[in-house]
Amino acid sequence: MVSARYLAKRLGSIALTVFFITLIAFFVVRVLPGDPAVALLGEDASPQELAAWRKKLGVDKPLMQQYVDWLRSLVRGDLGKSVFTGKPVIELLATRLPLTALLTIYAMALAIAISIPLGTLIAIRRGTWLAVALSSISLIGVSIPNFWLGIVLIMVFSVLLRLFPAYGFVSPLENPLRCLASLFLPALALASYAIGVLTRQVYSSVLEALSQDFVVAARSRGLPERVVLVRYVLRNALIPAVTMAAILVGYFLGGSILIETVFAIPGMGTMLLKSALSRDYYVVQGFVLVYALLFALSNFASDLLYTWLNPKVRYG
Amino acid sequence: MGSRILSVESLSVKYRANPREIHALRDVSIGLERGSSLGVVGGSGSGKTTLCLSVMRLLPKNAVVESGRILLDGVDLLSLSEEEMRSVRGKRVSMIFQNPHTSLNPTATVEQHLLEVYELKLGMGAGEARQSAREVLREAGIDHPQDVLSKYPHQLSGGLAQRVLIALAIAQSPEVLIADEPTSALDAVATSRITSLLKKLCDRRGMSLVMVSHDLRTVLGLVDEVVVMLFGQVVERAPADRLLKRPLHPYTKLLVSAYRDVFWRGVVIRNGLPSNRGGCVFLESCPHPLDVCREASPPLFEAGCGAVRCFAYAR
Repeated sequence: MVSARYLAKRLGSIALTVFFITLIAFFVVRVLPGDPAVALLGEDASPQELAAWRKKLGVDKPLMQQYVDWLRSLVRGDLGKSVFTGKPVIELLATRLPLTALLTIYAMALAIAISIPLGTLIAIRRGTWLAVALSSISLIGVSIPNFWLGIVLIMVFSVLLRLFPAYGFVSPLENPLRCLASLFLPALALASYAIGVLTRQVYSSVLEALSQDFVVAARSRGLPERVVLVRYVLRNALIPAVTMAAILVGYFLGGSILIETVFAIPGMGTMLLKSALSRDYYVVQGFVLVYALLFALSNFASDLLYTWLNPKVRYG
Repeated sequence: MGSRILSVESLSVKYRANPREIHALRDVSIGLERGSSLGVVGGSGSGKTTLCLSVMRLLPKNAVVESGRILLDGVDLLSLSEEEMRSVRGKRVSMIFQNPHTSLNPTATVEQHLLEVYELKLGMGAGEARQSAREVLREAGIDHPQDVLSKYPHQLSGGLAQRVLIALAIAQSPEVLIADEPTSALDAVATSRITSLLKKLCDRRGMSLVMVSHDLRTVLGLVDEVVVMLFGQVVERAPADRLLKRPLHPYTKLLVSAYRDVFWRGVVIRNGLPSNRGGCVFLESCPHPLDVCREASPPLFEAGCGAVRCFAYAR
């Protein structure tokens, strides 16, 4: 199905992508005005004090040397240490990454669970008032900014209806069920855009599949409608939706930064935001790198999934 | 021969296409004797496919059956529920299609297509279904089924894909097989192979055949009787040999002369729908129109062991 050469080629291109990301992550954060010493000591610290701290933090060296040092340690698997807390970045990742991953997977699960049946229903009932109403709702999902929707969801479901907790994150190790409940609103807010986009994608590809010859042919054999819908229509219609879903993983990773902040979830996003504001260089660089790696890997996974779903595609 | 297995009586079908309506079939009647074969010939847009899909009750959503009956062994298919119709499809009447590649599910192997029919429609267990799948492929002229079973549709040649569709169509041992231009997407060699395969299958299984084609060549020598369609109407019905020897309707004459003469001295048939003002549909292209042809649409007149829709044969 997928040749070893193809795998090697793809993994190589991921490595190359990650290398370019190291450049961006390193230099962009350094282009920002201010540095960790200023953030640490305040604007009115004396130049001598600042210089002393810069030397201590290692940010007084030439940029190229700092970059090469960082790359060297990366190769050894060392992401560096936080300027402020002194904790290794890898340790911060270990506590923060699972939460962001959980939130992203949760949002994706919600998006898929809602958009596939919804898009299919709109396509099958096309032209009825139900279909018109449902597709308008799915459009709302595309047009509302997720952080704003997050605030609205908190107001409606937590403050007014008291169905879900407004904040107060519960660890999955502590109580898995309550953890899912506490993450429901943030996941929904994060998924809203994806639900809208995916629903429209599923709708149009189901509609296209419904008019294909093989659907008429399947019906001419008297196969049950349920079988025609699942094996003939959906199996073909979901191929483009899968690709779309993988692209949305990148959107989720970006969106989770805002959503974690709105809902006060101690994930990677809140940490990244805090570190960026305090110019905690190594934390920002490490986290950006991990975000990029996750994005590249999810794209890769979607390509593999696409091959598996679509027998016509054979990567060589 | 003997009793009628399928008869379509005065069927009229229109398509709602904004802003106007298209009358795809007007008062079409055909009859198929048990164990015999019928050719339906006509140009594109003559309503051949609409006729096939009407019998299967698989017309698109914007189609409306205005009037008529479709009797399968005396039972009007138009009166059946969707559930009852599902047990007719495949089991009693089957259909094969023009484009074999697009008529197979691109995400399923040949074996998956066949197993699903045997397991879901005939209630077979996995082992029996697998065995039957091999047998039916052999019957459809695929000598080494194991080479084909694991293939996906895009890996098959056109002729092979059409054989797979034929195997799927006969899997439930239907009484009637409707073939809607089964060879028009195939090359000449594959065409003659598929045609002779269909003939053999019908003879062996006692299956009745409706063979639809835009080309007289593919139905003659295969079918007992031919119906010629033009603009949604049957313009002539005749035994195949008579039609070839002595065509009556001017349109049929054109078809036959095209069939006989490779260097057909192009007689122009006006394209598009006829100006529908109540006259004969062939009026604008007819070499010998009568005065009455402008005023009224001719009915079918009995003539030469068949019927013809032309005032020249009025008695």
